[in-house]
Amino acid sequence: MTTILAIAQSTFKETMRRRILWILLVFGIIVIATSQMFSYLSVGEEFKFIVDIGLGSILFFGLLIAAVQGAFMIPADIEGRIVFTILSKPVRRIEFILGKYLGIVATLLVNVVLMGIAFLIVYYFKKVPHSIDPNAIKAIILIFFELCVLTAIAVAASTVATPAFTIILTFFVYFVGCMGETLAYIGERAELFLTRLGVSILATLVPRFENFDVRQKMLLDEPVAWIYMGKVMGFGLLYIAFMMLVAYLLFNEREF
Amino acid sequence: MRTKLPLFLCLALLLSGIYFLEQDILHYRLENNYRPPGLPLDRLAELPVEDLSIVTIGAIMGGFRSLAADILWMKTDQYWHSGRWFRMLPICKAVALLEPNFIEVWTITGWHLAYNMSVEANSPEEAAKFIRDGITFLREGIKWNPNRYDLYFELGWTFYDKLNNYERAAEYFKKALQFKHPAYMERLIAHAYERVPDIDQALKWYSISLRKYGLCDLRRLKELEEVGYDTSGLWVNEGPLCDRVSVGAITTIYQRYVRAWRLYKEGRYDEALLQLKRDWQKDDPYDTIAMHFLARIYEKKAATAETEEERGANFDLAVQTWLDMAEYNASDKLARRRVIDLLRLLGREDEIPPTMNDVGLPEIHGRPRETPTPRESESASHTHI
Repeated sequence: MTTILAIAQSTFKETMRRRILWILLVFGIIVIATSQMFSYLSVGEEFKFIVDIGLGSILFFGLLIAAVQGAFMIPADIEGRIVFTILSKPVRRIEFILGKYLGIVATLLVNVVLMGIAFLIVYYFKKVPHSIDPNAIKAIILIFFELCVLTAIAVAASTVATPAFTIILTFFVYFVGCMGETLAYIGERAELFLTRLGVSILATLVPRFENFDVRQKMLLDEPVAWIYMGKVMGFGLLYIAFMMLVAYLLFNEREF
Repeated sequence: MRTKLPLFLCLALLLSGIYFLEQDILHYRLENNYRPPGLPLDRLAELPVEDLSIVTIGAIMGGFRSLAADILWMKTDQYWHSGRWFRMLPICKAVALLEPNFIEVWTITGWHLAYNMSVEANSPEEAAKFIRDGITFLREGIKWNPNRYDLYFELGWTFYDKLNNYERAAEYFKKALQFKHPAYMERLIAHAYERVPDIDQALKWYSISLRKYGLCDLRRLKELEEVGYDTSGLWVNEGPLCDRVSVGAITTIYQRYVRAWRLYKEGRYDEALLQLKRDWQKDDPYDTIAMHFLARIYEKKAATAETEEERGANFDLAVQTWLDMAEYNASDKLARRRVIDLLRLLGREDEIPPTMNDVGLPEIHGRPRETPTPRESESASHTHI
């Protein structure tokens, strides 16, 4: 565990040093902060815009960070031959992968928290009387878990693929994951058995990212149940465990 | 390979766990209204082909669907302010398809069609078509948001204010009551029945409102007692939601219409007429409720007349009363509609004044086109909605 934390810490420091991360973060915060310029719209619309832009920005910039950091971290260590130094020490490959993953997740956490605070400040001052909807916080938590899942996919892919391919794959998985309902629909109705089978396998392997989206509840002004939060977070953790194991199996095959 | 077997077993175990948990989440989402924004795909067959592209784009946009809808919505605002109203409509529809739970899309587009586009129309028939489109749009919105008061209220308000179809309005306002609603909703039902007029129903709904939200001032109890209203069960609400309207409305109803209404219900129409004229005409000769009531008494008298002559005379009086009201108040669409309906019923359609239509749009408005388009000629057969 100490080894994992040590690798995570060094990964975190390394990612935080990258200028691109801060540019994305600052840009994200600016977008969220300026979302209150829609005051010319009616009250209901304005509030919806703030929620959509706030949560959409956290997701979008988080997705960029997850894909880029997840894609570059392990290949950079392989390219720079740092991985040889690390693995020559009593460090197991699974510890290396988990450490790298947790380091990126810590970076994501800092980003999501900072952008989340910016969003909640705008939200607080726009809401009359001033208050923060617990649903807004729950939505941010679920976005964070969604990004953790995407990071796990990116890290697993990066153990064997080039960074460019990993970034494309991560975005592809995200958009396919958002079409879970469409895939299930096609899977049920396709005439060819092979099509049905293929689509069903894809629908099972790719997580349904719509499950992490609770904006519908926010629009309807209904509370998001903690039991639902628990189920989705549990699903996220299981999927991360699955991807970490896949990453380990792929990384283990590589010879250094 | 053997050393990896436990790992593959772990993978299979995790994958089955993921599968079952995901199925559980999906069921939970369906049962508890968590489903993602956007159209469910099993409703694709109901959509026109041109709408499918929007639904597809929405599905691909995934988590950014709401942002796409917002950007399009801002575009409609731009069109609105630059006067390009017709350009707004397809975009409004696209936003509704992308995010059917965005209530403002339905309310604003429905209002835009029924109120703005109808006024810009070139003929009453075209205006009627726009109002019908607005109503259809609001009804579609209700299908997507059946558990919120907003769209029932909007639809009810369109019937109430735009068409003066008070009975239909009351029907939708009552549906809105099933959900969390503003305090004026019960009173709005009473206002609608007042204008039909159905005095019993109006009093019933004012009473419901007064008993639900309470009196604002105990001193006003005396006003109600003086007119003979049963004040049992009334209470004083010191909060902001107390009913400030119903006491005045109930006392006015008692002073002006209740006596005539009782006679009317007993079938004593001549006495009801005299009583009504005695109670209201001295203060307000063109009181909407009283004029509607007067016309209804003539209609009832005509319907129950024993001789053809008496029937005809009373129908004439009813038509004349509605006509007076329509001419006095150009926005009284109920009066206009009754003139048209009664003259059609009597087979005297040629007597319908050319300016008389139930959408409140004068024939001289705009420049009537010489050759109506096929869609216009479809709706030109009648203007009733």
